[in-house]
Amino acid sequence: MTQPPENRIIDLIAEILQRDRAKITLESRFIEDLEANSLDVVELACLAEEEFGVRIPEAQIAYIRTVGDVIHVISNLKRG
Amino acid sequence: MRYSRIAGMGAYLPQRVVTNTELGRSLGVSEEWMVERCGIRERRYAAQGEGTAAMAAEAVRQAVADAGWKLEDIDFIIFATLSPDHFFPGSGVYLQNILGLSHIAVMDVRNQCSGFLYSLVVADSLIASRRYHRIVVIGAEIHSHCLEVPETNKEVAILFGDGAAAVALEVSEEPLILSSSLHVDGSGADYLKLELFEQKRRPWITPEDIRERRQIPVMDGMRVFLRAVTEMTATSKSVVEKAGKKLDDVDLVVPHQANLRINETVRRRLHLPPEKFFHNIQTRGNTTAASIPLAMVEAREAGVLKRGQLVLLVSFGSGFTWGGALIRF
Repeated sequence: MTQPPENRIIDLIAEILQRDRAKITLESRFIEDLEANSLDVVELACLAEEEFGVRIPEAQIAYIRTVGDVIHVISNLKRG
Repeated sequence: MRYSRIAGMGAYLPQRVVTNTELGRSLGVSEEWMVERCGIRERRYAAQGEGTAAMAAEAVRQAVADAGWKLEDIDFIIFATLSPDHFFPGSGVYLQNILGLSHIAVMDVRNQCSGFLYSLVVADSLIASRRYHRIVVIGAEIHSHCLEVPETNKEVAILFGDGAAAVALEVSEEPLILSSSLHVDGSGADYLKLELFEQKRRPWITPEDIRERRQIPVMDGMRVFLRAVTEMTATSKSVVEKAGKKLDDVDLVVPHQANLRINETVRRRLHLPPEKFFHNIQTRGNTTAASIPLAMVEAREAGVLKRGQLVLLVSFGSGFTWGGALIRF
């Protein structure tokens, strides 16, 4: 919880997708670059909600395309 | 106070094993795609001529034998299924006839994946009320009739399996259900449903419906996944808290087996270790109303479900319906 959202979210993505953490950047696109599917993104959102104590609206999950999008959504929700 | 206890459990699985290799050939998808999406590697499909009530009857016989009862000892049956033998009457009457129990009443429950939990809570209440003394709760499903065709909805087809499982409840001085919580959000009804039959339309079924495969369920997988994780996590926490316990006190969680990824995400959100979550979806698929009792039977066979344990049952499914029960097994 004390880590910045960026680091922890990239950790989660690397773990869920079983990808090399060093190759995941804020610009990485889930579908095109990380070969993720829609359920991977939903799973990530579910785990990020628990990790950061926020509730991500469904409509916002649908618009997540990149790693940076997730961080942006979480940061905005935390600011509140 | 009068309570219920689980005196016996039983299950029936059709013989035919359908692996991802076989189903993948029919659907035109890879085995890897199937495992990635849901964690399922094989499931059982009922044989031609094998009906929901007939499968249920086998599970009831097993549960009754396990309880040390005779069939005639049953005084009420609650039958949860979303795949009855016919649109009406409900499968309960067929089950009663197969079992030859003309002296007892049978009630059908239509709460999809949460059907077993709803039925368990009702059965426990009927015993507590002294109206009935030995009740069998059964979940049985046949999904396979519409899944094994290339035109099917692949996301749905890979998930489901056939099976039946039952628990036999009798009077006890100690409570079975320490706390429970049942929920519905009907605004989610269209996200996982079987469109046929559409009663409000005339004619209610047409050749076009069949051509367009409207006899196959439709699902918005993302919405179902998201809501399932949210509600199963929240319900698990609230049911445990309501009983005055902590999540760490729970010996075993037996979740509805809808999708391994959903259950693993719920487990992680609850911060529970893998050994506290029982899964059998890898070989059974999603058997909707049968899934929790089937998992309980197999958890006991595997030696992980034992008498006296604090067990959390939690479900989420079409409706949306969901719920949880903390039981002392």
